[in-house]
Amino acid sequence: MTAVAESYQIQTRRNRMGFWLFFLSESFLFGGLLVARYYLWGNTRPSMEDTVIGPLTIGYQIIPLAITAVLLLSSFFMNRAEVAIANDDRKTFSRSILLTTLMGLIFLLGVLVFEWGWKTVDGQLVLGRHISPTDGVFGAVLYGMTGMHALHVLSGLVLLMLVWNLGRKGHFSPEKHWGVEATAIYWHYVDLVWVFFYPAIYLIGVGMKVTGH
Amino acid sequence: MENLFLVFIALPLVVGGAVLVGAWLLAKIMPGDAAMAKAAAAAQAAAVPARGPDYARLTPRRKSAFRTGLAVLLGLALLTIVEFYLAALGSVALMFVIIILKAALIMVFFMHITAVWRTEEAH
Repeated sequence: MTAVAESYQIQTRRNRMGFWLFFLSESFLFGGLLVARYYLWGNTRPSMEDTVIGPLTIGYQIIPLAITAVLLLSSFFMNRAEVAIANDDRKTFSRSILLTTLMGLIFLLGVLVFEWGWKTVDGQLVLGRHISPTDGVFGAVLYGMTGMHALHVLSGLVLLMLVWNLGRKGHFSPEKHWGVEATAIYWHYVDLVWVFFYPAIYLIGVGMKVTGH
Repeated sequence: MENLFLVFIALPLVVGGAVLVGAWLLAKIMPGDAAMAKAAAAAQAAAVPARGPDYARLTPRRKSAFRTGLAVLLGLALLTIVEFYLAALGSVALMFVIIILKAALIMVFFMHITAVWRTEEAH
């Protein structure tokens, strides 16, 4: 092994450790939001209205389940991209990154459009078709949790596009692809956070009708 | 009607545009010195091949890793479905067990947490 390759491996090990320490600090942020949810909501959760698209009525728990499935699938494609670049398959890498980005975008829009919902009040577009951020603890915690997660998804999408662009230019090889690995770990972390958030917001507790909007 | 336009057309365009502009700006900022940018441009001009020189040698390892990824995805999907139905039964304790299992699957197989303590590169 050459000295350059060896130093790259040492650097990657350090990067990895630093990255996990970053995730540790992030987990305090998301952990705080989860604690707020369990403390303020207890054994309840907001019960939202069903989504109506034309003649179609979709139960309010179906869309969160669907976007959760999309996020899990995006994690699979991210893993596929990482495996591909580590095994010199650049075409699969490129396609998988694009698919991951597309699914991340679908997830983000699913949250922004269907979960948050928008409505017009006096001709102005305002947040909260189902529940607004000012609807007491339900609104505040729901928007805090989904908003912070959506922000991380958005930054993940930027990273994905960056990595895709660098990969297209031939910056990564089976031996040197820390950029891809870091982006993959970050994307899986976003998925990991949603594994805890999804049941906390939509499944655990008794559904309560939100009043006040 | 106005609402539909904003939600289904304007908002996706704004979010999608923001992602692309952000990526472009970061790409402009990050490449570093002029020599690196020049090398990148040259590499782009040369068109990166779909498969590198080590592709054939690494094929068995790649197939095995793809299969592992697919198995983890199926496991996560199954656990999510079970979790969804457990919610209807109100079994919170079991749901927490499933959450922990899903988190473990992601951390071990997707995030490669064990690589943090590994001394040699076997990723």
